[in-house]
Amino acid sequence: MRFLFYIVAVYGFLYIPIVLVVLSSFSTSGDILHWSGVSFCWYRKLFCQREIIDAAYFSFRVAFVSASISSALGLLCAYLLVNSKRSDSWHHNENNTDTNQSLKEPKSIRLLNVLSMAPLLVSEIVLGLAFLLAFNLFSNWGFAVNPMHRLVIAHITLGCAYTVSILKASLLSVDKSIEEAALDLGAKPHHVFIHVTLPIISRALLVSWLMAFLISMDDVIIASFLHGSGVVTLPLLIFSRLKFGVTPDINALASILIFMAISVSVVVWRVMKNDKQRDVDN
Amino acid sequence: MTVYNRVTRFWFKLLVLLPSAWFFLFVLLPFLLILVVSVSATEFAQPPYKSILSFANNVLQIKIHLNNYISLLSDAMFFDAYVNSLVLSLLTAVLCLFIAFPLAYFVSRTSQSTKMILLIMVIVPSIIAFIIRVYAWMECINVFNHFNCTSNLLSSIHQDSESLQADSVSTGYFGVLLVMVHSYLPFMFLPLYSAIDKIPSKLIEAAYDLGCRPFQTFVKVIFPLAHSGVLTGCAFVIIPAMGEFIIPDLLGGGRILVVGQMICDELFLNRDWPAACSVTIVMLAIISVFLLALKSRWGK
Repeated sequence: MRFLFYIVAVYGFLYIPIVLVVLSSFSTSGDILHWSGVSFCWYRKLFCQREIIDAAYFSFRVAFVSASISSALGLLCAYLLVNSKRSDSWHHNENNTDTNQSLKEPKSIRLLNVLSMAPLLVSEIVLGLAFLLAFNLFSNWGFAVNPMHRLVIAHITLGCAYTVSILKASLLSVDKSIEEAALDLGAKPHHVFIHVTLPIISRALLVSWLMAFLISMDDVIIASFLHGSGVVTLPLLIFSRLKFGVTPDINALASILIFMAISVSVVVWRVMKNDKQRDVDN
Repeated sequence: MTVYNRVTRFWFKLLVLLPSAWFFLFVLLPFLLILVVSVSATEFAQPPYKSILSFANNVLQIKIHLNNYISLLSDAMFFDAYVNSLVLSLLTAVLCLFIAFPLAYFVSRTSQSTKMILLIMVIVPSIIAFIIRVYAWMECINVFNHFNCTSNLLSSIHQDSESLQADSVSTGYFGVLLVMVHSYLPFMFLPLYSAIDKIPSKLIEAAYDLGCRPFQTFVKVIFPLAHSGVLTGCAFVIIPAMGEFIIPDLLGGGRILVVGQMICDELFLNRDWPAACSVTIVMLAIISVFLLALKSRWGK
């Protein structure tokens, strides 16, 4: 019973600020303390601000593109990592003399594994600094990258760290006898990948895309290092608003973002639940 | 058959090339660049550092400046920043551990369907954008202050009376710590949960049967079996918490000097990129030494 009290306290700690913001976004006075009625006026005011709409659109574009590319790159990486790790994948069908050559692969693969996970092993500020220096160097070499593309590249690299680990776990759980059956029946490796492997991991692919999308929408630090003059991302705009004076319409914006995050997690939950259900059925 | 295999291997190599090139260009090169810039000289130019490679009299010269590191060691301000960051991240890690351990234990011992809901409920706040959570806490602390239930403890923002200023470094500290614990709790919780979830309940029952008290069971059975999760969780909290500067900036009113803020100031205010890089390198060194020490002390 005392334990239950503790659990309620921890969940309260996690949720009280969030509930507070959502509640105060509906307050006419813009403040929970001076409650004078329910209204949507702050939401209306929010959608009148060109700056916020632009920032949201910009953030959305960056997140969409970087999530898509980092899922694809992460899938490729995870596939290579898993298939080089499985010594008994299709390379097994080769003659013994050939396997020596394919055993050379792991060193480059191991490096790939470490490099793809490296962004997780340092603080975000180090990544931001690293990208700032790198893009500066590229522009000195004559490859100037515009601010949006810089941000997209940085977010792809950060997102890959997550997508690779999600997709690697998913690919490892694929029953390899199914792939082998397809290979034995004469399908080429890329056909096996498209028609057999991809449908099996499609849910994990969706989850990793959502993850990369959220990470891109979440990021303040890298964006603050890389943003050029012009449009800023939504989190960065909120950060500057928080620093130089908060207006109540931020409550409304925060509530919308909270709603988005919760709906995404519900989607992920349903997907994972169905996945588990299907495993049980099988 | 052999032709087919050769084609497959060719494609495999070609496919490895693409992600390798990406990660070389956007992970390895940028990280190496931090190291290189940290030993180059400052210059008022674009970029604001001098290349360590120079080509004079047909001889390739490499000039390494260690001035940045020397000035870093001799300046007490940097030392304070490192100590502040380290203390803040350690406190965060310890508090997260104390909150997350019983929670993870409780969640792992519930039935399958409740477990899923409780897990999702821990993860959801971490999915909400970081800056929104910080904002939510700013509002929340504001409300707490209004009711005066925590009077001086939490007052950190929206504080315009001069009289409180002397006090506010320590008072802001509590607010910063609170938000950091809130932000990094899931990072501690998830590794802990996956470690504790693997402990068979038979072992715990056996400990009880053999006469262990709950506390003894915890010390002798549960904690040793979960210590890999504890180490991973600590690493996941300490690594980002060392570089954190947004929370101290917004909630501490910029009065708590942290390493992240030093890096930003050197980079954007002083435009001294080599100094910023050397601060970063020293920070990474401290984190890795600390984590390795933790691992060799507590790990297997």
